[in-house]
Amino acid sequence: MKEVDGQRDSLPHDVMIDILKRLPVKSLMRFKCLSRTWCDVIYSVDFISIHYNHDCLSNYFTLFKRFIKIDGNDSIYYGNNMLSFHSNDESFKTIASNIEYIDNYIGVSIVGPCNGIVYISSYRSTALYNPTLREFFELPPSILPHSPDLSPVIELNTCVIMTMGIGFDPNTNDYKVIRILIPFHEYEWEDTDNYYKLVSKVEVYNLSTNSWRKIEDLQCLVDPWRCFNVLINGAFHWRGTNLSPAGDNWIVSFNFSTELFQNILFPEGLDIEPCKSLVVLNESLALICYTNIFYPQNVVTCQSIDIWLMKKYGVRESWIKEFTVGPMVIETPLSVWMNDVELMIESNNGKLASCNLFCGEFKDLNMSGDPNTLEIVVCKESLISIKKEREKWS
Amino acid sequence: MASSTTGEKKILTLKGGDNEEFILEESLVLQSELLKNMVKEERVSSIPLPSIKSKTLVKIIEYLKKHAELTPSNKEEFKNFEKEFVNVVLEELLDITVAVNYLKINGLLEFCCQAVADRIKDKSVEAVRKIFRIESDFTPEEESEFRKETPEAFEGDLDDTTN
Repeated sequence: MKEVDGQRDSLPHDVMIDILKRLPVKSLMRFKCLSRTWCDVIYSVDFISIHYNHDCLSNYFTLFKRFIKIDGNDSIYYGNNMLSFHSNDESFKTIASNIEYIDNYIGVSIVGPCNGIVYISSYRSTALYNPTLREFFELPPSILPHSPDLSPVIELNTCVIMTMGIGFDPNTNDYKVIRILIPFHEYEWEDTDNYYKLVSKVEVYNLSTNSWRKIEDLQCLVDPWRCFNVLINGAFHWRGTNLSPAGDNWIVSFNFSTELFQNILFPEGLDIEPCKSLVVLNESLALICYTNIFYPQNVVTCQSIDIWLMKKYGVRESWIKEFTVGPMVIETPLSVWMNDVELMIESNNGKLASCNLFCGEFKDLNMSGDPNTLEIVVCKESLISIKKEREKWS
Repeated sequence: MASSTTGEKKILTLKGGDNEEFILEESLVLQSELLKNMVKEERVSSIPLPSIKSKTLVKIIEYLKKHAELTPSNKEEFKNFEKEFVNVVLEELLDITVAVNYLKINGLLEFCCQAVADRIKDKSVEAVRKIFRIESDFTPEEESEFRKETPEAFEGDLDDTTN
């Protein structure tokens, strides 16, 4: 760094880092052209990690996904999947609306984030995406049978049910994606005695090799439902079931380092409760239990919801009912944001709302989509470039 | 060298860059890790700080006094004081930040760095160059390449002022 008039000594390196780590990525992307020194610091591996680990509320934002039907067409598959960015402040201000990912197939899913990176999958293609840097990285096609290149409009009867997860293996410094396919077409559904034989096919993608590989079958089915997928403790979590008549279900986890599946049981007595969402709250797995109410038009029904925290990861006895919130009009719990204080929910008729876990205050966020299609991913700003991570390996 | 005392309170002299002397209670400077070590290990009564301007030192001593008086009941008042404390021209705030870093006053350092970050985050490249006295070593072509890479970073109302 050259001094122009030498009046002040150049900024000590650690002070510079201490200031820069507090800046939003937008500012850093501008200041990288100040000089080579600043550019090198901002792009250094150490700084990227310091910046990501600096915690501050303004570093968070939300990705909001919804499906919107196109007027005048009754087909449930005809419409747009919209993705937009919103601030993490009280106003839920739109930062970028409906421009980032538009796809007129219904089968678009987002999972994550992992270090600020999400995985987006549609029937056409799949990609890793860093919303902070607006960087897409398209992945090679799936190797599982019945790869989802099919449009559901054409091949509805062979509709593929796919569940996904994204994670990071700290042992190899590698990003991974997992996809779990339920090969419905291979099963005879009349054969109800054989429910325990149901298995799911699994493939894992490594960014290091940029390729998919098949791993051992999973001995149960995984529910692809949008509000039950969570990354915590280096593992992804979904709801597992064997479709037994008793309706048993549990949490299935996949550890990205060991590549092993594990079952985590719900609090005693809640195994067969159908309506549960899984989120992360206070750095723990959190289970939200509610009742599925069918909302007839113009009738408003309120209910209270229970939130259970698993205080000690993996230990069933450590589930504790931490909050009871409501009553409120809720269709689906979506995510927790604002420093673990606000619960975002889908209210009736596809409306987005938030509810304060401590004072119960209910806020309409003035956004909506087709009922039962809203999704919220709370993301932290991240300078981690997927392309640069990939270049490390090639 | 033994510290001089009045009653039971030990007194210490800090000497700023322009040789101006500041006499204060030793207990106050213990908030600085650097001075604390000097006082404890060497038992000095006068500490020269040639790299810190007197103007900056006055501000820092003002903070040390206020911080020493902080109790649960005047928290609000202290917060207001902190806000006012960093409400100085950026040039001066940077001097304070660098001095606080040198003196190792950890709580204040964090607060100053956050204040600097808040002040520069919406500034233009040219303004920040002036503030930190940086001469660009990029060619205009390289610079326009950066702008093309992340155009959204250069959008919006950017602040061209340096204070």
